[in-house]
Amino acid sequence: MKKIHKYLFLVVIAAGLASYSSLVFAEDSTVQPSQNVRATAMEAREAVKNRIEAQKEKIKEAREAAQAKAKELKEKAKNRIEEIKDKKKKETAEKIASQFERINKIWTDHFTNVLDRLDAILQKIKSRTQKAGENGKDVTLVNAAITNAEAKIAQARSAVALQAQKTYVLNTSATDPTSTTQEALVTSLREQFKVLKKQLHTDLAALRDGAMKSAREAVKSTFEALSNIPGVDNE
Amino acid sequence: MNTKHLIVSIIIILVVIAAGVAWYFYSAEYLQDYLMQGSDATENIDYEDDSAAEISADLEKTPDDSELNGDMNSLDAQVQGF
Repeated sequence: MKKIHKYLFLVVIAAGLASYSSLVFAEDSTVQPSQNVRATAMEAREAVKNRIEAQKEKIKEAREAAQAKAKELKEKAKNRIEEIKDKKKKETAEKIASQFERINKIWTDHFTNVLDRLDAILQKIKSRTQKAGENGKDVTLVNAAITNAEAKIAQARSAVALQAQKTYVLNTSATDPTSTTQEALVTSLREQFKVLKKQLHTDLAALRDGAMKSAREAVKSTFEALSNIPGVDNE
Repeated sequence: MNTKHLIVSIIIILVVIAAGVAWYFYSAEYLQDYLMQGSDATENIDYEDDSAAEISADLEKTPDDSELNGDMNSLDAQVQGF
């Protein structure tokens, strides 16, 4: 009888140990996926951050090179504006002359921000696609769309960097050097401003409606392909 | 004289404290605005939530380019007015 009690005691202890170890393993297996998710999210964030930094550096260098190149032209334009005797007209001309580069900087920065965001969103689409694939879903179309979106974002980044290095400076050689009267000088500068404004608008609109639009649409299409997968949010 | 002096001193101290508190909140708000200006478009992206609904919301919140024409029209008006 004592022996049976002894065995029963051992069985209870063994069962206790077994249930404890199964609890530990269960806990491990529940922690594992969330740790993986966090690690993948951190990797994605790091990848986007690196691309953002690289693009910022690229644009900064492009701008500096363009500014150095346009320095002489800017000096000539400044001298030409200095010839205006009317103080108010002169101030307006100086203001307009500085607007072209300001607007170009604002818009190339804006486009860069949009691309950074699209890049980050694409990382999340990739992460969800990977999970869907691991869950046995067919992600072939989404993966093809991701590759396409990555290429479009890269193309748009190059186009934005090209735009950032453009300068919009008065071409003093195009203004009439024989315009000795003040009126002729102002008319000549006004025509030059119109040319620069048209050029800037054409360039920025081409970027917006070309490479930028393609990148936006590519990411949107990729998301649509992802959301077409039934039960895509299942973990 | 002493009572009057005391009241004036208390008022001055209260004004100084109020100014300090106001400055504290103003500078905090100012600092926040300053930091906001320097923030990038990816800051409010939650990388850990990759559900379709969250990605859709992220896409919705992506800034558009609608103000470009406004900026160009403003520049055009300046050039025309020159």
